[in-house]
Amino acid sequence: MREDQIKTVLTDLKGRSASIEAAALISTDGLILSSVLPEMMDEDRVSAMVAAMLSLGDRTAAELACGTLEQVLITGSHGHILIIHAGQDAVLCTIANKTAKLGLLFLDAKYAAQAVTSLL
Amino acid sequence: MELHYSDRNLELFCHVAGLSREDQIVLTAVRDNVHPLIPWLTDRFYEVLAEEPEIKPYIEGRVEQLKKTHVVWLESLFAGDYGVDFIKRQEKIGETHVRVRVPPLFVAASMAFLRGALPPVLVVNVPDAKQAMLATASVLRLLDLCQYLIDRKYAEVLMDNLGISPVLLTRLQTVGKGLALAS
Repeated sequence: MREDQIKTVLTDLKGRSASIEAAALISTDGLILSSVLPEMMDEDRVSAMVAAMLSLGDRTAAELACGTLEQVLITGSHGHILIIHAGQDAVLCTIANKTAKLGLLFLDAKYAAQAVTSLL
Repeated sequence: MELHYSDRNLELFCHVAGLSREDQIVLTAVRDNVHPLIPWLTDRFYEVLAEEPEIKPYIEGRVEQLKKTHVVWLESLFAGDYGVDFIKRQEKIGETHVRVRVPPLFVAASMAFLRGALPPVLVVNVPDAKQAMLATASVLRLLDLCQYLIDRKYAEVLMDNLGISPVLLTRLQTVGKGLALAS
């Protein structure tokens, strides 16, 4: 039931904009909890890398006196990967293409993270 | 050997390596034969290190202090107590190496030096040939244990500094190289 609700949040997030291509909820240890990823993406790889990136972001923010980490944004030539905390023990990863409006992406991901946090 | 090891990895190491209480007895028995030669061995070791331009900056200006530490560490190999305190001392070395940025290469090279240097010392200075042979096998096993403990702690501290938990590290290792796109 709860898994279904989390999946619905991720599906809704993906449906909010045509630029959002994938979303995944991952434990901070790198275990996939729920995802709406394209078939070509390997869940295990995505989850491990995203969790590692968030861990590094946490440490970097702390080391450079930027306070508590809010998000990590990776931008490549084809799109963006937005990583934000979803509660203490989970991470929400949203993958969007280059056409995404970053402000909207941040907002949509933030609301989705709040929604899944309440379900965890 | 006092194997107060509560961790499965160390149990596995000792089992596969054949490291046991027997090694404690064997190494303690040759302690008096080896002790007088330890300072010489340490001097030789630091001569070799000083020849390496990449290592020189790590030891310059504090060779005498490092030698003292090395002598104590070498003596501990023949002290017969390889329990919790022994393990903690090896782990402390690993922690220190992260802090002072001594790479694992130096540990591996140093251990290789000792694996080459200690057997002849034992053969020449232990009167009983069988005892010398047994002590050689024991000290080689123990050096391997030390290297494992030092390297393991080094990796743990390094990963902790990066915020990578052991579970996450295992996942990262198993995902392998390449893209997150399924092949």
